[in-house]
Amino acid sequence: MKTLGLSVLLLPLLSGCFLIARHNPDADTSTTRTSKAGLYVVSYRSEVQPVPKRELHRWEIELRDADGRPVDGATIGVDGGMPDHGHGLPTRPSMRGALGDGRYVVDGMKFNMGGYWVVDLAIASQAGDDTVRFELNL
Amino acid sequence: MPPTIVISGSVALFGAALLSFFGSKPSWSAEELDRLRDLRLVEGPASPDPTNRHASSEEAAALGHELFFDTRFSSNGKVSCATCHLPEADFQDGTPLAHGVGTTGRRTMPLAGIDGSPWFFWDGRKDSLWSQALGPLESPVEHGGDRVQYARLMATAYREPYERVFGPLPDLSGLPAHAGPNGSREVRAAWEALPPSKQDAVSRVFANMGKALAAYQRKLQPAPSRFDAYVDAVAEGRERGDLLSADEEAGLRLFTGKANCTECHNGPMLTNHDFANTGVPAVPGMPGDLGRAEGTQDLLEDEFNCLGRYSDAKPDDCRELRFLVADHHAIRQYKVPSLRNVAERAPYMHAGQLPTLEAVVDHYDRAPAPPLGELEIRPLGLSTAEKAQLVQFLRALSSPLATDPRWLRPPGPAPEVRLAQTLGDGETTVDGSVIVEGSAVSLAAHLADLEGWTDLFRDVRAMKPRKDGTWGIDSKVFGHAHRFRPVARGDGLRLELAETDHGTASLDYRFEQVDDAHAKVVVRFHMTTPETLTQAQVVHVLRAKATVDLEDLARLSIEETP
Repeated sequence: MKTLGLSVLLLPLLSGCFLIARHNPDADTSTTRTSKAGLYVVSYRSEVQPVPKRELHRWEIELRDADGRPVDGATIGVDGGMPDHGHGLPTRPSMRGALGDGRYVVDGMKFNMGGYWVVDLAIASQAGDDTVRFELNL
Repeated sequence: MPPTIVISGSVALFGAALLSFFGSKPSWSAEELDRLRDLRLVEGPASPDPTNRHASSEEAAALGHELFFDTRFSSNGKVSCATCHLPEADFQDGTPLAHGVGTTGRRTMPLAGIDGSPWFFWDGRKDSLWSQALGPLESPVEHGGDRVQYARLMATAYREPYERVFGPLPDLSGLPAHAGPNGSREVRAAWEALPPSKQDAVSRVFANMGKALAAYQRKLQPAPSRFDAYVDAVAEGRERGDLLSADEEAGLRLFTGKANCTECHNGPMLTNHDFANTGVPAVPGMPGDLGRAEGTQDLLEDEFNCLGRYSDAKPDDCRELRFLVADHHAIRQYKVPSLRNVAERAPYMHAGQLPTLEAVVDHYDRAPAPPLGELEIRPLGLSTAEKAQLVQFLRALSSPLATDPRWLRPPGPAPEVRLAQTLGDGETTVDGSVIVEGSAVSLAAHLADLEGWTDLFRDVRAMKPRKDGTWGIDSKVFGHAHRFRPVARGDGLRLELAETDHGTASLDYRFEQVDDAHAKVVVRFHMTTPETLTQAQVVHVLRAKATVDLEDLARLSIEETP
């Protein structure tokens, strides 16, 4: 928390400009990514395309293990925010249920401005705990 | 090719070269254009509202229109929704704190286009337009009444239109005159004494009043401003003409760029409908105010919220409420207001702490520490010129409402205003009249008292020139922009322009008896053409003012007639 606060203070000084709802040209905005420790290959699909601004919506998450098999029986926690602005998500999204075949519904997604956003998923299943970060330029 | 065309072509080329040399029209990158398009007003009907199945009912809107202007829904018979939400002033009242039967702790919010928001009030303590409407009705400093009083009045004054929309009214016999959960100790005790079934029946009538008021307010929608026309032109690669001046265009660039405004003021209503702690100072002498930190708690406990028994929504429609973040970040967060028509409604912030747009821009530039909570803005480092450009841009966000005028005045037939104009050399006269119910003597007597005029002219709007050569309605109280001196007359009143440095102007009002039941209000407005205006603009001003004044006088006479 402390480092986050510090980075918020320093960013404008370091970048020499002001924090604008800018896209991050270096962001990897792919919708399928391998989790941090390599336990899962995770995909998301927004029920509203493209990912909307200011509108509450759901994401469908698909979990596969490293061998490409669907992972059922997992729980998914959701966090995220705008790293350049030092704030989190405007809502508290949560896993709504499992559709089977490694697919899950996360509800309560909302992005209240354009710019660079990250969404962090914390995944727990019999295969182990791991996290994955999705980046979005809205 | 004829030589003239060649010449004008080369002139155009030379002009273009000059423009590019002297810093020309700025161009917008693809990403900036996306950001501009996001701000473009989306015209059309109000957003769906699953909590109110009557939200788009014309009959509910007509009933809500009646309720909105009815002062009987108050403890003193003098306060209606329109007391603070003045239709002629963008549905707000131009004062720091709202005045109902008492004084509130908050600034009146405008209403146009507000239906699309998931949250209402400065602190977000309501989650639907209809449940918002119930708050002021039971507030001891706003309408000051109670829900049993209101349900009984609905049964006597509005039974037929109510039952057409909502079905049969419940049996309200045996109820006390006053009872409700939010009133004085006596009123609350009377409420506690009622059986739960009666409480529920009354609360349902009360909730339905809110649903009718919401159906009415959904009619109040903003129209595109010069800014929207500019975005259209830029997005389609068309000539921008002088849709925005160079300063306004520079202000727009600051708005979406260095000044960070679109961080919160984004989307078609120029708000993300969210909340922020922007370090707005506390008002000295007022009780502590935690903003949304209190609002979210109130909302979660509110019997009229989306998940409550009076909501028409299915639980799945209440996802905003279910995914609500309620934590310490909400301390002294206040609603991000729409910026549409922002220049027409000083003062600013949740308790009118900042008197002018200049003061607002200066506040954001400085980003002072908040009295409590976490500051969410940073100093901007704007120059004096940049701050002025930003203010210039904010003034380009004004537009009249895209609403049928009948919703903008109290229900009932519109007064039939007749106008004629006489153009002289450097002077203009506009004559107007309207036939009203009542007697000329009583009208004149009522208005002979200057106090009465002062009240009346709350409703009369000064006009101001706009870039397109037309005149916009300025919500300033008449007499602020120009001072007029009243001169008493036997049969009416004459106002003369007090300042002598821009010509002469006079406004005459007379009253004539037509028959036993009707009087005629006659106005004659005369003005010499000042250097700054064309005669066409003078005609426009005088005609617009005559229309507004005659409609106001007709309304006054209707209200005065028993």
